[in-house]
Amino acid sequence: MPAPTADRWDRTARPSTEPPPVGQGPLVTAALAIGLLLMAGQLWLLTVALDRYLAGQGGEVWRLAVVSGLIFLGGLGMLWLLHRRPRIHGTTAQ
Amino acid sequence: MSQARQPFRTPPVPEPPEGQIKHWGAEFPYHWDVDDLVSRRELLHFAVYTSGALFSATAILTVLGLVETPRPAPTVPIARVGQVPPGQAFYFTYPGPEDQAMLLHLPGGQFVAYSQKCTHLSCAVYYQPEDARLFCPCHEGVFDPTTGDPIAGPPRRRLPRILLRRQGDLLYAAGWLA
Repeated sequence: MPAPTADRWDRTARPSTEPPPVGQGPLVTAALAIGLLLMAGQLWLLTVALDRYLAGQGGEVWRLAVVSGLIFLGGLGMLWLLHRRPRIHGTTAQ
Repeated sequence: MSQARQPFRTPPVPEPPEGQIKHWGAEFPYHWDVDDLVSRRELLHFAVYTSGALFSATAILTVLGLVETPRPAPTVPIARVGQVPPGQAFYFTYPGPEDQAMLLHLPGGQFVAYSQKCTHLSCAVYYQPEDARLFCPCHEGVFDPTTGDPIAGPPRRRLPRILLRRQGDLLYAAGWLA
């Protein structure tokens, strides 16, 4: 039997007890709240797009797709921001 | 002599041997305390994936809307003017033989024609001159016979209106009104 891997998608592993970096917890919560709100907006955009398409005005739907795509890109950017580890430059005592 | 009724008790489950635990544990390798745990980061990932799916669906609708070319609407004779008395409807097919449509002779003398397909779920719409309305019996949708606008029930889009042309005594369907 192969040894269990230790990557983040390993569901057999016990949850990590390591706390998130300082300040990351509220950031993730804020990102999650904003992301869910924007996702609700995307769902509304999709219903409007479907309504326009069924009404035979499919040529107008591209604007809605652009807005929806921007929201998606914003979500990807948010993930990138949360995954990066900024280097903190401290001051040295003289 | 009757026996006293004993309450039903679940028989005790014997502890399985060590080897059997390993067996089902290999087939269902989820530890009990991580089974229900979804972290905020995982939920955020899921939200972004869902956002991508919603964007993809909107993009697919955009492509379908750009690719679809409107079918050319033919000009076909529908009926003679005297064939439809005021306050009555004449049902025909336009533009294809399976596309139901209706010609209305409104009480004011005006002729209008619409697709008979309800914009809610494509049921057939009928003219009810006694109530001065177009009625969809499936979900009780109501349209204005003068404009085709939805005025009650679940439909939110107006009925597609057919452009009419008159040559002498004959009425022609000549395309769709935007």
